Amino acid sequence: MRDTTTYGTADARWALEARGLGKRYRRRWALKDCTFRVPAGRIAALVGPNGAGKSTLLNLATRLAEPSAGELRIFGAPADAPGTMGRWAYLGQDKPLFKRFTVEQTLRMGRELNPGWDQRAAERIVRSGQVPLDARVETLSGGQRTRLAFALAFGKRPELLLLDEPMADLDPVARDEIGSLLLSEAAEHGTTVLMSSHLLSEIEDMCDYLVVLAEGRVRMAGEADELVPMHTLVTGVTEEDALPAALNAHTVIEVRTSGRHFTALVRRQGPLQGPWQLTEPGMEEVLLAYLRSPGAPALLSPTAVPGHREESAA
Amino acid sequence: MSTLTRGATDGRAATAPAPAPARRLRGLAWLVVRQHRTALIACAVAVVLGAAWIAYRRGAMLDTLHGAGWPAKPPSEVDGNLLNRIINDLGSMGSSLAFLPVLLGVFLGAPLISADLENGTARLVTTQSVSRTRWLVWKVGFALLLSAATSGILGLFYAWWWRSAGPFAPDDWLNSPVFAVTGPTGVATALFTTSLGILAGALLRRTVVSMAGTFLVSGFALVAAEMFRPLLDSPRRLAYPVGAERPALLDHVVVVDEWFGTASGKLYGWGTCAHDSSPEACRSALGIVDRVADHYTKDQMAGMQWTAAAAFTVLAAALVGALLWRARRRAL
Repeated sequence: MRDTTTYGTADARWALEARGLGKRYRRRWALKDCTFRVPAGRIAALVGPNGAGKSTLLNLATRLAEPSAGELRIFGAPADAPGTMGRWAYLGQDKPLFKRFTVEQTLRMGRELNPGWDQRAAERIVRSGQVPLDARVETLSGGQRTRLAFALAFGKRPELLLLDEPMADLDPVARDEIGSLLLSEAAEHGTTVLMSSHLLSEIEDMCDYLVVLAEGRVRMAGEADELVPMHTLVTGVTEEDALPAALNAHTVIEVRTSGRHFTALVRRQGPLQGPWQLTEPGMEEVLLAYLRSPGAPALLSPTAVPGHREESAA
Repeated sequence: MSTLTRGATDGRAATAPAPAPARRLRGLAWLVVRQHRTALIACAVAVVLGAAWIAYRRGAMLDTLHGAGWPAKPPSEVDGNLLNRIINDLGSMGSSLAFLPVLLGVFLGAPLISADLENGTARLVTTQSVSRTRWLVWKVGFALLLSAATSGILGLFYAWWWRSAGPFAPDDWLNSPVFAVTGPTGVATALFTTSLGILAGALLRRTVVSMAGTFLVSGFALVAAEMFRPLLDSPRRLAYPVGAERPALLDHVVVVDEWFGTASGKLYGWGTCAHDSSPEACRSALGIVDRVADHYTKDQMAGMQWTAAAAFTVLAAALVGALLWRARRRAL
């Protein structure tokens, strides 16, 4: 991983840090009171139903929108500080490119507009996908276009890569190809990635950090390895059509009953004892439970809470 | 992907990355020129064709005039039909050129930013390492420069033609396109309409809508500017006795109004006593002794053109300023 101490401040260890961040569009808050952080070097997933504020958060980070409240820092510097733009790259959902440009001209645009441009890396990504350099962008397939957009993003040599549903419109083969490209490039350069996605299996495969948004608020944030094992899937028999009282000591995220049987995803607050069947949930099950229950209490692992610098600095 | 293209690209990939070609344009300058290559070429073609056409028409006009014996013979002896043809030629070319700023606003100004907003390329460019203000300054600067160059060069050629026509050019410079097309006015008008289009595009965010809006508003503005043109300067006033012959001076100036005047300077409308049984007696009863002509002389033209140009330039600056101020405060 990159030596983050060269940036002088300890804050550079946090790729993204939000404090009380909010964005209001007319009357509606698209994002409200968001406080979380993403440590450098992670592949973080930004999860949430449509309209949860994922794109808004990415727009705030890339200055495509201005926050209405709070602040957002990128590697310790405010998102609107002059030097910050070169440190991140952004790939929007629709992956806009100039249709009349050739692939070569698109890469040249990257070179002309980014001081730290890495032409070699960008060309390698394009060539490894057999994208002809002299083809016009409008003639490329969806997968090739996405690859070119990735080449543009990685050629910028970003420390933080912000992706808005990067693979939503790709066929399975292209998705697999782009996914492994993303992981290998990120690993090679130690790039922090924050990607929004609806594909929970994709997240489970690729991401080691989670930021879950629902209704404009942070529901869960932290290391996937820490968050997922805090939960248990409990299956048992209801007591008088209700959850057994013994479960109330724990935080129940979601309950589903069928007949006299219930299945509950709980966040343990101690040892679970009772005549129940306990199973370890996967990341997908935990994410689904949080997405289906926006009312559940938020869960932030210490790494994800700004201020918990000391214990998570190691 | 077909194996054919795969083979072809493998061939390319095998060679080492070619050394980058010499870059004459860099950074945003390159991007803006590349992106708006079509507009640049269209304007260049318009300038070349327009200039060539003017040069050709001017040559043809001079040939005919020389054939008619001018300048050896006085202009008054030249055939009236020929005179009309010259006036018509100058007028139709002038009207086309007067419409040029509207075209520049609609086809260069309006899509400048709205097309980027529509295609999402505004997001693409402003998430590279350049701020949106810098990007906008380059784009707006390019469009204004192109627009000013196009209208300026064609305006110069038109002025050249007009001057060559000498005594055959229409005397009414105030209500003919020569006022709007030549000198600083043509350039300033183009700057105004282009800025109008750019701001409309940034606010309306839809190319077709902003083109239509720019067409309507700039067309309306140019008509209004023509209507209010006499207000740019006050007309001069010439009084001559009722019975006397009309002074020759008035044949070559733009007469905008005529009155009857008394010895004390009181004015009566041109139609005063016109329907009386004896107009003369009626007028002398009112004390009318003079005919009065309000007119603009040729030497007022330059000053009025500069005033009009200044007004259009101020408007253009306000529109561009509003665009940049808005971009500074909030995202596009």
